[in-house]
Amino acid sequence: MSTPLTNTTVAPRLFDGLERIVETQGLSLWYETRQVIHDVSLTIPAGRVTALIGPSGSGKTSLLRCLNRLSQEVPGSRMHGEVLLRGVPVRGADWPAHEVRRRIGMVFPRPNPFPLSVYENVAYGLRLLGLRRRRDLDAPVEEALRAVALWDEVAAQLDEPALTLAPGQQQRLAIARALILQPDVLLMDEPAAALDPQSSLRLEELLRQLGRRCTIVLATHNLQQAARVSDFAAFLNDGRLIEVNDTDTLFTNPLRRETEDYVTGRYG
Amino acid sequence: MRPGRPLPSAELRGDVGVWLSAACLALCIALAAGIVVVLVRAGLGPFWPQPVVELVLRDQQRLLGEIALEEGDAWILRTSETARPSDGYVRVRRAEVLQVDRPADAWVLLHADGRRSYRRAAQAPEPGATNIVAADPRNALSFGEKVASFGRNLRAYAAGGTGEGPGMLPALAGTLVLVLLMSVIVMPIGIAAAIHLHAYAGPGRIGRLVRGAVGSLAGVPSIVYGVLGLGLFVHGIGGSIDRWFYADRLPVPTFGAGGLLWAALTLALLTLPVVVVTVEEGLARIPVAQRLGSLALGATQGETLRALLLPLARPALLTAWILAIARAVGAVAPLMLVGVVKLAPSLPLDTEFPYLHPSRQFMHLGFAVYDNALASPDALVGVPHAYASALLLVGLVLTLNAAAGLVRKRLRDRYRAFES
Repeated sequence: MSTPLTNTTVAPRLFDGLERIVETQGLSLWYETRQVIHDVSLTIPAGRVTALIGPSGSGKTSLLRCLNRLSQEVPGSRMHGEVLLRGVPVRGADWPAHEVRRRIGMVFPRPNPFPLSVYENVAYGLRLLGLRRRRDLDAPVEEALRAVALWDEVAAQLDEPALTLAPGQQQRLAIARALILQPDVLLMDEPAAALDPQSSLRLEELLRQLGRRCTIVLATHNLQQAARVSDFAAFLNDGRLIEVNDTDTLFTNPLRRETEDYVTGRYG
Repeated sequence: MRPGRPLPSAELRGDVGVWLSAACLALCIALAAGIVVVLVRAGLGPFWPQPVVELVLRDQQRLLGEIALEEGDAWILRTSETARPSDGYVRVRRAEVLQVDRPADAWVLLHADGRRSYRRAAQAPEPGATNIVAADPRNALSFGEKVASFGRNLRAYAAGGTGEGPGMLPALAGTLVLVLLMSVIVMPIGIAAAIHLHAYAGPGRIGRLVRGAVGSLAGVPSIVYGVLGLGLFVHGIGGSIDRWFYADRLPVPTFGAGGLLWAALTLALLTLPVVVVTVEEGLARIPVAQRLGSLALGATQGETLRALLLPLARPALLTAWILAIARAVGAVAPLMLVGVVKLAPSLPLDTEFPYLHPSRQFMHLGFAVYDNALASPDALVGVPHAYASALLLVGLVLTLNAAAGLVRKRLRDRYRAFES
């Protein structure tokens, strides 16, 4: 097993000038007896879009779920190693799981709006924080919906069930739902997996905009999407981190044969 | 299949299966329909006004009355009751009857003491003179008047009094209050237990053990729960309450005898497994993505349950409630041990503070069926009353089911997108 090619090994200056907002150190994850993440040490720079690429089953989703401790909700899962948020271990005593998840938001592959109105879907996270009155919620809800370019489309149907929206709208609603908590990091797990090409393009445009003001980790097996949207890219295969670099270098000039095979489509 | 024996063709085998299953289904439907038809006929039939006949016997004796029963070569004739209700039955052999008339001037008179008598008269008898409370010229009634009479009979029986026993209302009220009290007890406990099993107990060995145990509890015969209720609630808890708080009234028991509260608790025990299993299945059917979506927004397990999972599981909660009611209403045997009576002096629910009287004994439709059918002083009236009680019981269960089903359908419609 060869050492992964990361900022610590081949590109020490890769994240210069950037805050290392999330870091994993020797992270491993088991489901029952099956190990799905092998000793991953990965740095996520603040204020940039980092893409996790790799074939299906390579551990992208599992790695994302380690970052916000969602993996612990799977019965029989076991995690070794550390995840640091701004240098503090997320599994430490200072961090209850729900606090971590408020700081690290997540969007799922399939839109999963709650069976509530559009408004209540977006306000869900704030209501959990104890905000009850509608006049306290109105402004943040509108801001979150504007941030995902959904406000103009749904302003007239805020009290309609969210399930009546189109899939593309539902997915942007899910992003607004996460954004309203003003998370430090937004984890996106194949956010366009269930969308048609046009909605998918709109979503990418949104990701590029959001990437300017928020840290995004995007797990995708759509290489074009990763190339268009991300600043940095990490290639995962079989639960192992193979190579990390800025996106252009990784796609055009990979150092590992494995990476080259994948990004040129000869693999996976 | 041994070699050498040809398989029947696939189509033929399919046909046999189709016919066989269709026959079984038809049998089920016929049985269900049969129950309803029998209950309606036998339960409502006796309230339809029967013609009054006059039998002329060989010895020139004339008997006026209604034919209550045909028994082989004899008739049981209900004739005028002279001293007390139901003392007027006469057995007449058909061979002795020369002639059967239906005199148009026959009157059926109802007396204040509940007796019924038959008389031929050209004019309506004077009311009040002989304690007559009602009189009808039975054979001269038109169809419309018969329908009205049917309605009056039914109403009189339901309301009770006039020699027809306590009527149905106390038993109906007792059944309803019992089932509602039972629901109030069993639903919160059952839902909480199901939540724990679903969210916290996990799939490990202990969880499996508990689930298996809960499942087998559902199969314990109801009379066993009756004995448990008698020992644990009536004698155990009830006896202790009496010793501590009502010592001055002993040996007359207050809570130490069967009563509404103990019966409701016993039925709650009886229906608990059904509620736990149904609610847990409902929670398990909710898509994982919903739960994860809520957790990912920083909700705790408890907040996710309250804000999302329980509202989504509402159809399952209703289903659990329906099943609990169905099982509770059908369980008469345990009630006999913990407080049901043939005739309660007062309702468990009335206008007197504190309105609900949990220590009182109560009447129950299911018990009324049993009591009327087997223990009525007048078998010829009791058995039809048993059918009428049974019909009312079935009606009550169907009404409750239909109401809950309607609510459940509306909830389902709202969440339909999640079923796929």
